[in-house]
Amino acid sequence: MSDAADRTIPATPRRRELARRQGLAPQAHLPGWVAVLATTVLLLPAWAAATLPAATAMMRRTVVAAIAGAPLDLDLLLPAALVMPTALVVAAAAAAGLAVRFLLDGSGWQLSRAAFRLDRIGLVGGLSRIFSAGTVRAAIGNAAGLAVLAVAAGFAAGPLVTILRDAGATADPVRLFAAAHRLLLPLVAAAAAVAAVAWLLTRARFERRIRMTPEEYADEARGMQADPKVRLMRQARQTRPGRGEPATEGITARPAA
Amino acid sequence: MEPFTSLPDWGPHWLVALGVCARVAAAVATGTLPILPGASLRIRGTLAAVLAAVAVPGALAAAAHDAPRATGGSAVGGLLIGEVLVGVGLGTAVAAVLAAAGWAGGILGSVSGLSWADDFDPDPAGQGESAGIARLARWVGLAAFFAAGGQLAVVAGLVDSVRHVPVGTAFAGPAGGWLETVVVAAPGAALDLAVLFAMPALTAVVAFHLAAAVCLRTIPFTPGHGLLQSLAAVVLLVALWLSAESWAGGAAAAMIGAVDGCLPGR
Repeated sequence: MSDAADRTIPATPRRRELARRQGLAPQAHLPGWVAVLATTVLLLPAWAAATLPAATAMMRRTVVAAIAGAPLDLDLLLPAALVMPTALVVAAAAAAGLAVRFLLDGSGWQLSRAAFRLDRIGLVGGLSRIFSAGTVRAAIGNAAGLAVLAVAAGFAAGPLVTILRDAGATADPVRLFAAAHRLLLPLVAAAAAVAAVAWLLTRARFERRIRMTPEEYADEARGMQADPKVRLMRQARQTRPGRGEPATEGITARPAA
Repeated sequence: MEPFTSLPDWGPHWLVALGVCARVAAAVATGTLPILPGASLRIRGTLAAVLAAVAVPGALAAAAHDAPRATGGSAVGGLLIGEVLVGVGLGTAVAAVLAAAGWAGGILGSVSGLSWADDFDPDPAGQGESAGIARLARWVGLAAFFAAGGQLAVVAGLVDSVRHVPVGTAFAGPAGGWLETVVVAAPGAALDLAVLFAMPALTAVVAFHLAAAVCLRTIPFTPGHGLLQSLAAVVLLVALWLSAESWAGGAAAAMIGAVDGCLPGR
């Protein structure tokens, strides 16, 4: 085992991929979800303005058709004015989420990453992770994030509280919904900030964790040389005209320690 | 015109008074259900008798211009049945409007989880009892209604109804606007009021659930069973407490307006 101070070399792509397959690499699930949420919340007023009249008309037409005994067609049950805006919002939200995931996690699609790996499961490793300083740090960080979100929600709830206190039973529903929407916007912004900070911290911790010692780097370089598959791939690249790699075969990039 | 000459035994005045009594008794029997759920028959009967006594002079004055045309015993029965139906319609319209606050409380109780025990109560004997939050909203709404003088609007509307829909004329010809008002407008107004009354606190509860979902999805935190429902109940009670004064004032004004709109000639 090497000391953390000896880990001075950034991880190689191979080590990075290995860590990813072992489930150690942080995934941008949370930033992606926040992107989906933010897109949905931002599009919500436009979606409501587009679909509520259509939904009202659909209900009225459906009731009238049911009373009159007319056959129900598909456009009556699922009008395009109702389906299309909803589908657009879903597509936009999904696109935003995927864009964030591609941006932060990269676009490498490998089915092997999704395969179930038993070596990810370890009783001792799991217990050591549970009872570790990292758990305490995560708890403190989560409490701080929750406090930030709660404070943001408290400040954002001001307009809604004002309407509740002043208008009461005569409150205009449009003003109520607008106040609720204004409550969500700062909260989503705070959630985005918390998610970004959490992801950056996790990413930095991961990068620090997978750094290599000079000995590990040398071992990995030797292992790659000895790997016949890698050697064959390099030879194949060298034989292609114009795309040959520099003659690095046999050279060990041993950095200065 | 001599409208009552065919009924010498009853006399025109007695027939009108009987029709007024039937109408008022039916209206009191149905209209006071939300106000006096546990009131005895004697109290309801006394109230109906007093209101009928007040309404009879107006009914007689109206009958002088537009009198019922009863020509036999069966016609008298039909007239009384018609008046009972008019009274039931008027009473139901008033009862629906007065029950709107309770319906709003029921909506809030179901959404916040405070009335789930009542909503899923398998005992049919307890179905008549509403949830605590619905009961609270109903009594607050009724208190505000009485404090704003809403009962005067109900009594005046009931008494005035014998002038705008004279005894024996309700179903004699084409039904006027009163029937459409009682059958269509009153239930619609009551439902509208219930949703309107529930909307502010309902928005607060839904906004809380959305905010909680955002927070708990952003922060990996698993709340215990019932924690979110408890917090939602707290939010609901705080919302009711914050808006109690303005809610009660607005509810009373809205209910009085709806009662005025439901009773003919108001």
